[in-house]
Amino acid sequence: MSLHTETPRATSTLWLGTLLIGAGLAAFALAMPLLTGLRAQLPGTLQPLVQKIGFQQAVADSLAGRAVIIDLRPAKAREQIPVPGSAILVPDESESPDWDALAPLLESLWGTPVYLIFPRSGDHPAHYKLMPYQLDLWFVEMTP
Amino acid sequence: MKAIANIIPPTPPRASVALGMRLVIGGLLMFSGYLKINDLDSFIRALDAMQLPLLGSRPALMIQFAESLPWFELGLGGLLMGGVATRASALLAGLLFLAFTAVLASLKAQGLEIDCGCLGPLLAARIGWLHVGLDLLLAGACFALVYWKQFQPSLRTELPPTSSAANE
Repeated sequence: MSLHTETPRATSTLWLGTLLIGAGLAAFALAMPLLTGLRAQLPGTLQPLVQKIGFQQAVADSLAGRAVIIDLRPAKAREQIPVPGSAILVPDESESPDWDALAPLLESLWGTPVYLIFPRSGDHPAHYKLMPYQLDLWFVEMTP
Repeated sequence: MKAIANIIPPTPPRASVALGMRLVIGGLLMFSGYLKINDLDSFIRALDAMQLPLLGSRPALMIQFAESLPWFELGLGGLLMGGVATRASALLAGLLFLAFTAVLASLKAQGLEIDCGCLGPLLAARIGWLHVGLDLLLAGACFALVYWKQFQPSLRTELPPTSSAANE
């Protein structure tokens, strides 16, 4: 087998050509969905949670062993309004290795209502990490 | 007549192999892009399940990626099949397949049992080492098109001897 040996100039020309073609194709790929109207839609599971429950009811269900609460709020908010009983805490970063340790626990929750307490700021990366487990997720309303 | 035969160099068998490889890889990319465009929902579901870094927690970016990648594949496949900027296109395709290989290997190593999504709904198989190997093989084929000397078109054409040279 003999490899194609090139001068540094030919190599840089090749990489420059690749870069230009890549940029051209990227522009084409970004424009075509707009031009053709062929757009993707998020699957239903990624849309905001439809099932909602009040905080008090969620706590009551959790204490009765009928459901599990996952608290996604930052530590300060958790201290201000703590969850009576217990709640599962998950990593803030979706790439955190701690997710691997949590996997068996999350898999065991299949079939159990899982109540999510979101931070005030809105969504949380954990929301998307929980989707593949196909859990029965509920949104906990903190204010009536 | 003999001079004309000397001007037109015979197509070396390796050039035919290179052409075949370009057509197969380009066709595969175009087919893959076409299938994904026809069923973007399946593709975005597969992407969602993969929970890729950067995309997993950014739905808007994931939608943009899911909408654009099939067109990128379609365009790149077209360039390869049409023989436009062959080496640069093959290099780009090689890098793309290498990225696919890394993603699939990473997901497989994590033990995630999810659909591949490689060929849209046509190949709704779980990610396996076969997929990883296949992508690696395709990446290798693309890099061979770029760097293997026998696959390169000859830049020199054998010219017939000039009359003065023939007289010498």
